[in-house]
Amino acid sequence: MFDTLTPERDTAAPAAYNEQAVVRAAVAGDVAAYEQLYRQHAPRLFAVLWRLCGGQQARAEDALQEAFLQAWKALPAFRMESSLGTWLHRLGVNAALMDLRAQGRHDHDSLEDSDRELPGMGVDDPCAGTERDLERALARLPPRARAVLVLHDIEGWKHHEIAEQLQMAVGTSKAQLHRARGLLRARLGDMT
Amino acid sequence: MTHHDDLDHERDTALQRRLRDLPRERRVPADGWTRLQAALPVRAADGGPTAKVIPLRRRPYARWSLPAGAALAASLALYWVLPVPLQPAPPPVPTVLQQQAAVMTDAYREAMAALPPVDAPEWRPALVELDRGADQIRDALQQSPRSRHLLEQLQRTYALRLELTRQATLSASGLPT
Repeated sequence: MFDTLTPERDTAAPAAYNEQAVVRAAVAGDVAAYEQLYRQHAPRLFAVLWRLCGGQQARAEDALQEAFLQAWKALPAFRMESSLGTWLHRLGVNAALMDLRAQGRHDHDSLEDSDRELPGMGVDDPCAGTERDLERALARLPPRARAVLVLHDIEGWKHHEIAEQLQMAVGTSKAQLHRARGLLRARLGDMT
Repeated sequence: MTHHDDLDHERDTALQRRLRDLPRERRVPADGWTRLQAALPVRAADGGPTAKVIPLRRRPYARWSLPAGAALAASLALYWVLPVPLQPAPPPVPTVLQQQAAVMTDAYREAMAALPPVDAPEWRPALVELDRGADQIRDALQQSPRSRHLLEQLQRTYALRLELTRQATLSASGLPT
């Protein structure tokens, strides 16, 4: 589950890659152009969705598919004034959160189940402190707290942006972040 | 600010640094693009997504309402989905979406069974076409069992089939549709 992380790589697009031109081609119905956009943005977006989904590969894949499907439909209305990557992130995060809400009717890992603490690693885990265990501890946070932490501390979103996306008050977003950090530190044995 | 607050702040900063050091990318599923491509609706010349279908005015059932025609156009997008090579082996255990599709299909068949038989030849081609579309969507769901888009397509196709069957029944009975 945690063994397919890709190493950090240069995310800069190839020199010949002109995103505006590629977007225009995709808007005109050029599927090959859209594939270029997918190849360019999917790995970055997938990392976010995978974390939002608590490391659940199938859900993250579904959210990625949904995001790029929605993007294809909405691309003609996209204005290049903002970053395509940011726009795709919004679609993806929304798809992941929708999925978590929908799945809440079927199983335990719902976004609404915000007070449940998933079983985490012990604080005396001999492997605690590694990147792999940080991912594991993150995945086991309660879904809402995890979403706030991922968006704020990893993705750099502002609280008002998170609050809007998660349909919560700004104060709630701050409280969830505080809670998530505390839980994460506890699970990592305060090795941070 | 107390010593405790300072300590918390330092810990938060350290934790945040570790979190931001996590990999920013993750390898996408190998079949991700193929599955996505199979689900993309064909885009119309004006840039909007739509299906490539025979213009409605050429059809014998052109007296459908515009919304019904548009819904059919959407459902027929699948005809462009199917020629794309699909995934090789369906998973043995049905996904949640496949289970939802099965429940929806049962409910649809019950609803259809409750309707009187249709005796309206001019409606038959459209109804047959919709049945074939539903069959193909169900097959595609077997190949792409996590495609919510296909499930939605199936739902729209069933809804349209039921509505057209009702209209055909009324038409055959001489009542206004």
